[in-house]
Amino acid sequence: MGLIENAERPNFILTTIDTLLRWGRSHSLWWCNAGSACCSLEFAAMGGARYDMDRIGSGLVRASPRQSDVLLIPGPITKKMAPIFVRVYNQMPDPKWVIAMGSCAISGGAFRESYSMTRGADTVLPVDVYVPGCPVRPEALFYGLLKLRARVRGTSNIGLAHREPIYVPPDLPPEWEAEVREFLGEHEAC
Amino acid sequence: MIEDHPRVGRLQKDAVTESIVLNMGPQHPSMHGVFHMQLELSGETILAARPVIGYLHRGIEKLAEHRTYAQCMVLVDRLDYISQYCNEWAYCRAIERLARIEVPERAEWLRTMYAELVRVTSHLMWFGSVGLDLGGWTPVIYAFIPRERIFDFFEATTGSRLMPNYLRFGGVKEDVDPAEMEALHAYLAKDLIDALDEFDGLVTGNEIFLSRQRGLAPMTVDQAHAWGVTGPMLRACGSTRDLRIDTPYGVYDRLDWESCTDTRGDALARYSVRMREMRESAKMALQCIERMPAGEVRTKVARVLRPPEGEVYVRHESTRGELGFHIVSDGSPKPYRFRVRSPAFMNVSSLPHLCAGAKISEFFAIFGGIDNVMAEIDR
Amino acid sequence: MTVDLEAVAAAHSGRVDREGLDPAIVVPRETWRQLAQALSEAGVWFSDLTCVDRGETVEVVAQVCASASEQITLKTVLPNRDLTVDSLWPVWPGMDWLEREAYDMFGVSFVGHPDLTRILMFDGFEGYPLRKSFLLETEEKAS
Repeated sequence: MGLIENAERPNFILTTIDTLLRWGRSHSLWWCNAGSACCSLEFAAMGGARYDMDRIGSGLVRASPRQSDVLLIPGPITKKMAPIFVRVYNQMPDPKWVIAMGSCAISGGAFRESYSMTRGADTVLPVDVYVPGCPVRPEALFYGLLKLRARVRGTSNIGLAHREPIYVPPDLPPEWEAEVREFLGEHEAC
Repeated sequence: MIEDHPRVGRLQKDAVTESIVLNMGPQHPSMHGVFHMQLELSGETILAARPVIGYLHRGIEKLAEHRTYAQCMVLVDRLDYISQYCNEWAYCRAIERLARIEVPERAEWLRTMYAELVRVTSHLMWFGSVGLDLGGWTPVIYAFIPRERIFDFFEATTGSRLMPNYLRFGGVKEDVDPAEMEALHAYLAKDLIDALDEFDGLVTGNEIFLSRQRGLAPMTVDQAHAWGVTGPMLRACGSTRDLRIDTPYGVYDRLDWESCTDTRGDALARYSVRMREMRESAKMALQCIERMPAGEVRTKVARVLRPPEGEVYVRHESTRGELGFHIVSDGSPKPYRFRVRSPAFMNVSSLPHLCAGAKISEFFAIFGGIDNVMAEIDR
Repeated sequence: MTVDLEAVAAAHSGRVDREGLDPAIVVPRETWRQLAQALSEAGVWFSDLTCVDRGETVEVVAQVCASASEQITLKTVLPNRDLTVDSLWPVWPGMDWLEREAYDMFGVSFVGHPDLTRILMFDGFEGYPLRKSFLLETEEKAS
């Protein structure tokens, strides 16, 4: 954006719609907290008085995924929970971003070998930001959020690829994992 | 007459509300973690409720069978991440009883102090979320101020805000810096009490809050016993059961304190018990700092512990109620069976009884009063 | 209040095991619910119920409290081929979720339970995770 002073009247701004949208979005990243485990406490601490994420416009945790921009995964994704995460993700409007918070969300962490766990959020959803730690300190999450803001501001939204939603039925079919993997393709677990 | 009109008359005759099923959760901001509730509603009245849990089931009991006793401490921390020290202590007590390990005097005082401090932070978290459940943001913002201050102490002395891994079999990891203790003493004696007074002024005397809590979801002692409810929820019905008194451990029998009870048994009584418990816990932690004797904080224990064959069940008063560890040892370095009796699991199982007949807007007030932690319920 | 363990055990064709840290009453599964009923009438309340997989058999273990400080363990042993036992839900309604969890994790069927479904795992899950025969993926690779 360029500020042209003394052109016709003072404070005249010339910009493209795309830049304006990106600027606006980066200052109002609203959360959808699918709050599960220990890390969501540190997320709550980030909303508290000391860290205060309101100062960068990200203080709102929306009740509905349809009103939010960032899906926060602050804990392990169990096999029982994975289809619900996919459903919540599909309900969010584009453009949307996913933050995997903590080692459980990144790789399964301390519970990786368990029978009931997925091996990280990226086996289920396309993750944009990984914030390591067990639990993640509020500062670390803040840093991740700032990095995400920079990315939101720097990426053009014109011609943003439309993602085909996947529909996971509520009664959890055994082939859910294959379905999710087919959708994600290159995100397949290693 | 309008009633004579054929369509109006039929409507009046058949004007019965069909019951609907409403799903709440598992992803829901008011839910404390990933909790799913199926409610059958007639209008706004809850006819039946069915909690669905397990969305955070990580299989801790199975994983523990594949780790040594000391490694299990990591899993124990992550069971109930709001009262970590209570979990660690209960687990240590179970193993110490099984392997017959003595704990030095100073370590017992330190453990008691940490357990009571964590009870304060846990109840602060609960205080914030109760406010949130009833639609107010203020309590949660206020509650985080003293919480962060106590977390600073945890971080300075144990290295971590949430997951301390501080207790060891036969003591604690290391002694506490006296300067930190002094600073904490000053904080507990004045600022924390001021903060609690402020909370009382903000919420406890609030007429709207009182009218939403009073008489809500009443429970009698007999019902509580039958449903397995323990902890502050049980003491709010008039029972005096408190494992810190009944089966003394740590240094509770040498401290000057009283167990908080209430006789009303409703949601307000649960609130009142927890608010008073915070003051009692702060008082106990102060006494611990003042009277703590000098000495060793850790006895020598084999690095790879092999407890003798046998089994043990230890009951412990966690912040939510009776926390039980049932450990079966076969003499190897890994537990043969590692069972956690979770207080929140039992307390939440009473939810269908508590909210039958209530209005849907009251559901969150009831649910908030249970003070659950999904990680501990699902394990 | 104290409970005469020997008398209670004898009345339910069981025995008292004092080798462990806490006394345990071991009864055959036929008298499992009668034992709980008798104790419940004597004012005993329950604390916990779980199972221990011993290979050939599965032990059902209940922890009960006779008084605030007095703790008793109740046990019954089930053979692997027939894991059924009477439900304690009619005696203590709070056993509801504990028995569902034992069913979910060990496959023990509690006869008379009103709603014996999986509680922690999802409905389509196969196997009983806390049985010793259930291997984690890492174990399967190793063996």
